[in-house]
Amino acid sequence: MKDKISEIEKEALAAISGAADAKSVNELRIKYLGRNGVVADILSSLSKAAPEERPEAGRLANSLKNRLTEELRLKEEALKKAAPLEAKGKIDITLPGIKNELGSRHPLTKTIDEISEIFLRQGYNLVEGPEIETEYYNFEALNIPLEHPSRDAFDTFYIKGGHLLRSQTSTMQIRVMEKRKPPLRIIAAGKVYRPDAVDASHSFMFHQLEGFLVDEKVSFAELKGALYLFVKEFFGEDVKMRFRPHYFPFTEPSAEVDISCIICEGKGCSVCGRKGWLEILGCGMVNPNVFKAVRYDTKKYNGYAFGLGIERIAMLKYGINDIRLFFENDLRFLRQF
Amino acid sequence: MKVPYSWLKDYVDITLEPKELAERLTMAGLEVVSIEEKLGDQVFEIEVTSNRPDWLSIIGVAREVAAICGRKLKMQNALACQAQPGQAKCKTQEKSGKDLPLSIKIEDKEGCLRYVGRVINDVKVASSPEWMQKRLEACGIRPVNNVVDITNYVLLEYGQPLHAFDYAKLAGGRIVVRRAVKDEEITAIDGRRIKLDSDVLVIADEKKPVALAGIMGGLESEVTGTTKDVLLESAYFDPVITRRSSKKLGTGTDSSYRFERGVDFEGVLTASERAAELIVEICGGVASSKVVDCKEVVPKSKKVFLAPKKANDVLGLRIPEEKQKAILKSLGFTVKKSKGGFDVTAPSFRRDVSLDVDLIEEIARVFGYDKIPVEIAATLNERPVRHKEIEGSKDKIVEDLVKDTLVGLGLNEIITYSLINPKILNNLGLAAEGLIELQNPLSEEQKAMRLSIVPSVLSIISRNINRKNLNLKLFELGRVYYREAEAEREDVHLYIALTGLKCDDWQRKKTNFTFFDMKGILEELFKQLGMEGVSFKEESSTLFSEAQSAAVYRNDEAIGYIGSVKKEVLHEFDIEHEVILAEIEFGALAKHSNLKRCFRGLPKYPSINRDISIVVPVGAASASATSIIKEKGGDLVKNVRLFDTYTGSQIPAGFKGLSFSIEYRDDSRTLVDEEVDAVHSNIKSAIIEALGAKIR
Repeated sequence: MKDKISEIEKEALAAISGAADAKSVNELRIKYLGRNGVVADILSSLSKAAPEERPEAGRLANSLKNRLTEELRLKEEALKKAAPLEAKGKIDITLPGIKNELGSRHPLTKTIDEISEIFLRQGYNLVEGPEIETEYYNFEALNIPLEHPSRDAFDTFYIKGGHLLRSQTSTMQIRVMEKRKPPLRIIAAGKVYRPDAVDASHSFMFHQLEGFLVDEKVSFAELKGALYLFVKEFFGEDVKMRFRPHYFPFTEPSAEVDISCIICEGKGCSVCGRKGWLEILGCGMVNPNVFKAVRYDTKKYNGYAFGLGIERIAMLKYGINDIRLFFENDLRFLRQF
Repeated sequence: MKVPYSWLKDYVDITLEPKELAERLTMAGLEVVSIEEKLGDQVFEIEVTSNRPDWLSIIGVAREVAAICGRKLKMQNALACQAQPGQAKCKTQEKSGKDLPLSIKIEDKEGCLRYVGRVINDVKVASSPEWMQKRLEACGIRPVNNVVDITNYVLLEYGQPLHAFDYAKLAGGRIVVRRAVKDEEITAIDGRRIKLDSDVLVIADEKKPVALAGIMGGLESEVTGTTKDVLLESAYFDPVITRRSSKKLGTGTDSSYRFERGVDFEGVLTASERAAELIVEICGGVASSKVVDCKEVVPKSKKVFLAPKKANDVLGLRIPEEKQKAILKSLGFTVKKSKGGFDVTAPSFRRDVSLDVDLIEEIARVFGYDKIPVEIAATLNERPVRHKEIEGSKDKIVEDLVKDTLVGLGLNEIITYSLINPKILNNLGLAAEGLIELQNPLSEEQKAMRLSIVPSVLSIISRNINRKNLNLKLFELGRVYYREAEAEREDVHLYIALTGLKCDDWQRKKTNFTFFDMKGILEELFKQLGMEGVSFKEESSTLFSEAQSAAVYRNDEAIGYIGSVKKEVLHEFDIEHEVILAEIEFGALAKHSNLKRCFRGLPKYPSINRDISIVVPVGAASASATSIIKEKGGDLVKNVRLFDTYTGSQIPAGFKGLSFSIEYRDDSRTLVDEEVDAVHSNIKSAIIEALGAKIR
């Protein structure tokens, strides 16, 4: 009996070790450990054995059963480990992810939003106003006399009744001041129109952002401060800026602001016309004639104003070389912002 | 304005290199946009602002150079004739042999404030000297002959336009400054035959116009090789009238450019003398002693009071009083001490100065803007408001929420032109009522303000499709413009457009955008805005196909529409793909949005779900089943979700299957199956009864 068990064990272990797949392991399990399997046979044949052999044989048979159970389990595991990964639901992680793309704000909107945010944090209020305007708001109240060459810079589209499409957002200075009393900190952005033939750098419709502050004892140094905060935050800490005297009818003193070219860092390139400087905005101290138009006390109040072209700023910021791209709205363009 | 470096050196001892000088000028407000090496000289291209006609001259720029370099302007050099330095300077007072008759009459005193005329006899018209030609060419002026070149030379030097007539061609030796009579004509120097009218100021002789005042001379009376006696004109023509004429005639010249901006009234005679001197010198003529100077009284320059303290306060730095005074004097101002400051009188060539801030700018400019410190203004003692309503403005918070929501849903914002070709409205069958048209459009394509953004959106879609961007989810939040009761109105509208595939990947089935994708976008938008009472009602439109067209209502107010764009309309834009479009009035979104959020406790008791599948006629609205479920289920029904629709072999033709999942829950206790079964079966019978439905 003892020998028989040991022989079965030897044979079974060899078979298990030789099993090639899960199916063979299963067949071996049924053959040896099944209800009518080899081990079951041994156990049932114990009753026929000599009584003095029985305890020993019983122990051996049980030990065989345990040994085979364990070996089959181990074999099964080993086979599982060795099985091809695909069988375990392995994926090709290099397949592209399923797109669930966000949309995008238009780059001009983004530029307006970013600039606005900088001034909103300085306590400015954001307002909007009409694009269809009168001569009064677009010119007269802003100290731009009729039939004066200073109007050449503000060529204008007219509609019936002498009304016009605003050629600048400075109209908002008058609209706000007519309704409110100082102190004021205002920014206003929106579309403006000028009859310029369209090319890579001109458009008959574009966007401007106007800002102004009115209070007692406002200084040019503070105007510099406000724009300094804007330039450093929007274009970066390393950017240099300079204020160049200029002329605008609605400010006095007036200035244009240049920043060191962000493309060539001031060395001179095609974007800055080899000058190393980029003009980004116009500004100045509000001309007392403008305050007179809105009946502000010019002895008590003064202020500053600035205006910038959004397309130009966006083109510089993003390195866009053609203004028409903003209005063509090609999806491949829009998606980049 | 082109300014040769060497010419400036005639008037100022400049030690700065051209590049350095250009930098200094730029920082003083005379922006040097380029320096060009030309005929052995360095020529500055200076951008002169419209308030500074005095900078449209070499002397004017030289004065500035002197001021910023702390040098003196050497006017004696200006009068010295360059041709033959050794000769006597001025022969204008010399008596000539013949005194030709000369009468000058200013009939239009509004158009001409001063007219200086003089005759120079016996000139020999030839080429001008080489040095003069070189300077003219450096400044972009083509040499003609010595007389004409001298007038141009003095124009550049003094900023005073001059004109030389061939005296022999002037009938009666008379000059009359007057308005043209209707239908009078003149042939200008450029050969153009120009018809005149009373808007145009002319110089006439006894019979007819001989020059367009301040703009251009006439061909007949121009100085030619045969000219012997020259009438030299130096005048002050009114800026506005010159500008009007020049615009009307479509002719801008170096002369009109200066008159429009205002020449120096006091400089009219000086320039005339300078030119006469040069003519005598170079062309060998003899100046007549008779100089006729007709002038009106021009108001003297206003005295402006300047408080140096105010200058410092406005600029935000300390410039000593004496320094302020010195700067103003260097620019030609007369400065007198007065109580608490200075009485400042501007020179005649500075008509742009009328307020103390004008003087403050002069001081700051020359002192240097870069010396003004950077200061951060104290914070405003007022709560900054994100947005405050001013005329025509819209609510920025709602605007941001709309954009954030749409961008979050994967839509790309577009911005299109507000100007359109009005023809397109016709082609689309859209009403053109209230259309606002431009009086001076650039082209037909941009002739009118848009009444609707639909044409713009469709053309953007068309362009994208042409460029193989086939799957598009776009929106624009922009204005539309119209006239109502004689007043122009601007309303903000939201446009959304979908076309192409909604998913185009390896995992999901490729499906096109449908009406319901758009409806879902709008529903999510209304949800984000906290807008209640919004419904979609079937409504036909000229824009949409009959099968897929609806209006969007908020309670009883129509706030927009949604639908699938008609084939005929798409055809106008060469679009072959289906386009789903929605338009919503932004005003309604702003007005009816409710951004308050109130937390509701999470359910404490479990819910039970039951499905119900019904078969109804194809024309039945699924919403009627939903409302019956809600009505019959009462408080217990917390949610009804349509999870399937079906038509096909298992259902008779003309019918469709709808499957709903209903969530039952009681907020105060745990529901048991039996209760739910009872309610659910009530709902079933109600649907069968009300809709003639069958249960699947």
